[in-house]
Amino acid sequence: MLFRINLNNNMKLTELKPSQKGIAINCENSLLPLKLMEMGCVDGVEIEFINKAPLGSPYYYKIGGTRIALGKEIAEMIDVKPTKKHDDNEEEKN
Amino acid sequence: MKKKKIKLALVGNPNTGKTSLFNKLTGLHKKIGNYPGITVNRVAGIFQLDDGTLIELIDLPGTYSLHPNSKDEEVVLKELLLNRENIEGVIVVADINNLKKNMILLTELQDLGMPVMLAINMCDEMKRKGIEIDIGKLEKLLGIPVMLISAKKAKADGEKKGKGKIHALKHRIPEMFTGKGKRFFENYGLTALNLDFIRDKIKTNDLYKNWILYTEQDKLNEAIEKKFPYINELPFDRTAVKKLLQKEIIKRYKDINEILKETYRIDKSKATGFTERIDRILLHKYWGLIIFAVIMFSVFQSIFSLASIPMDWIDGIFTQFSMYLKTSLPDNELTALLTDGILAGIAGVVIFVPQIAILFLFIALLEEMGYMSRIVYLMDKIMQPFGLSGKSVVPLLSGTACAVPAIMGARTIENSKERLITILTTPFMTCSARLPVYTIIIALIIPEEKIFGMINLQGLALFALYFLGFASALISAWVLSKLIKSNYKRYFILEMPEYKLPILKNIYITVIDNLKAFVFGAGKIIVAFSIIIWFLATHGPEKFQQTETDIKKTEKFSHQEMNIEAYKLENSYLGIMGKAIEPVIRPLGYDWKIGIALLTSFAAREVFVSTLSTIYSVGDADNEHLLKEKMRREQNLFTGKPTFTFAVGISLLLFYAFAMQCFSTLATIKNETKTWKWPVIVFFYMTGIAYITAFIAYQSLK
Repeated sequence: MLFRINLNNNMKLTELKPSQKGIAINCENSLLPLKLMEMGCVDGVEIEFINKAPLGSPYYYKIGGTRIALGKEIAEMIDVKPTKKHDDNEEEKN
Repeated sequence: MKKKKIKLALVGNPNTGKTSLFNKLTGLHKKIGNYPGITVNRVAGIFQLDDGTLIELIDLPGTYSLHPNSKDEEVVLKELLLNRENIEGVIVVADINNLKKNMILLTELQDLGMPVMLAINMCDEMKRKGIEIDIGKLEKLLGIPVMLISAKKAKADGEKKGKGKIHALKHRIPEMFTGKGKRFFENYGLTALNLDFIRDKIKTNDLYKNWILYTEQDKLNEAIEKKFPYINELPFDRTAVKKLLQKEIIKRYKDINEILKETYRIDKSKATGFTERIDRILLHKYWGLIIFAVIMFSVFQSIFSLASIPMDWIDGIFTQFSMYLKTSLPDNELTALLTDGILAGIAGVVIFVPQIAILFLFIALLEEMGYMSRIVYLMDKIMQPFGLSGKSVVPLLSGTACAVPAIMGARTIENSKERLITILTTPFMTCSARLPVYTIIIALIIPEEKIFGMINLQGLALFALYFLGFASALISAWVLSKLIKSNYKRYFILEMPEYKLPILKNIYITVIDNLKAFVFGAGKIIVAFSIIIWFLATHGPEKFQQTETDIKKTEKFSHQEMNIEAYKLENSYLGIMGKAIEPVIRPLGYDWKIGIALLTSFAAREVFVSTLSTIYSVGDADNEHLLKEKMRREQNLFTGKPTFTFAVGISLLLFYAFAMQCFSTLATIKNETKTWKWPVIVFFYMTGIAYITAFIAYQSLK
């Protein structure tokens, strides 16, 4: 998957695997609704992917201490830096 | 000097137990109304302090901040910033599990200069979750009274004896007017670029107020023009302002973190991830949908069959009582008004009580336990393209039993536009009152045959009608979502609350509140309507009064009684109206007899069947077989052909599928939207579609 190679390992929030965690890096982005930041989705917060709705959207995350479901179009706008435990190495093993 | 009455608002994030606390404080002493012009409930209650001070408490919609994302959140901004109602102080409810996030709104309110008190709810969970909190220090750092409470465990606290935490909270209310709350915003230096131009017009104390006026100016147009015209003179760059607002949140979080670092500790090893684990099952790709379907099916079954038991009782009791009154009171006009008019009207209201109670029992249970948000999560993808909320699924499905409880069920939808669209489209769903009309007409015009050896044609026709109802509800929702304007862009951000055991008292209060709203709101209109219809059907001009002598002259004795009824109905005011509309309904293939039945259907659609029984002098209104025979033989006076041809049948089915013929539904829409505008629109819109489709069907099939 050549196009996936990306120097700093960042990925879209929607690309996290279930139970995988990442650190949010671009929440202070003027395209995102303010409500998201009010709910605690700020840069540096840890986000864990819980699951995806049966029909493909929304996506369900634990953001900081809060469980939040996000529409796909919103989740796609947020980038995260995956934390070590679940990085791409593990994906290769599978 | 002590004031006699203080007006306070209760605010907080969604899912903080705000409504539980409200119920605990005010009990059943509350008034539910609407905010002007929008479908957002305004709930207010009253309680008294030991020193006699009366506190009027207004429960504002849940919100994360003063910056609104929808019309209902806008209510919070407008009530607190413009303060039309003279709210003197605010109780902020926060969830102890997520204090940080809850404090954004708190700090905003402190910046507004409002007397504030913080009630940290769910303190019963502290030990289990490993939470420690230093209330004294928190009070000092924030400069406001802070209370730990548990709306859930209030009873165990000995609340009744005046010892509990909520009792203590009440008695610290006066303290919020004496302290000096910390201000945050003035140190952020964010306004420099924007508000500097009008520095001279702003008092230092009002800096944050003006900042909100400036940043939310598109929502506060009217107030700004009238009271703060100088805001309009300022340059406004949306992106730049948003950047500043984002910076503001970062700074608030920084301040909040500073405060909580000294006062709040949570032992992360105690987190169980219980809710997430349940959600992996309840929101599972396949299981999630199956469980959802089972839950919805039980709700549907309950309002359909479980409710029918008490409904039969109510029917029986009212019939017996009416009979008793008829036999024991003198046989005159007044008795008739009392029994057939007023009593029948009240019965028509009470009959809805079981369905509403059962539906709200389920809704409250699902809401309390946290499953309602999951319904939104599961269904959003389907409902969103039609401008509906995931929660609209509940009213729409309930609408197949009866639109009246279903429309009330839309109360659970926070977003006012989505709630309105749900209210307006639910009447399209095939309710159970349409069923008797459908079955008799289908039996008349669709042969009892099977196609492909297995599909029953009549069953297929009935299924098609159900589908038609559902499809037209969705299509109308789509049209309405394009027509009803909203300042807010729709995006999906939803907090998923923790799963919890329900608080029975809250469920009880929800059911009672909604029953009251129906009986004393829509109920009054329904009684008035049924008295009018009763009057029109049982009174008439000269010819009506001579019925008995006329009939006796012409008919053989054995048929007299049945024909008297028919003759009376024909010559009543309603009959005259039925005849008067004949020219209008003739293009649909109907004669005046059907016209009368269409009019009486306003009492309830199933009355169509009994009206035809009366008109065709079937005698026993329940004898459907005889009625079908009569209908089959019935001939149209103009054409000399049978009245109920295939074309007329289809035209009638379509008319009943679409037309708004139920005044109980109209009364409920009026009661929910608090204006006659929407029921009138629904009436003309639905009946218009009914007329056009029935017209096209009849004209092309005849």
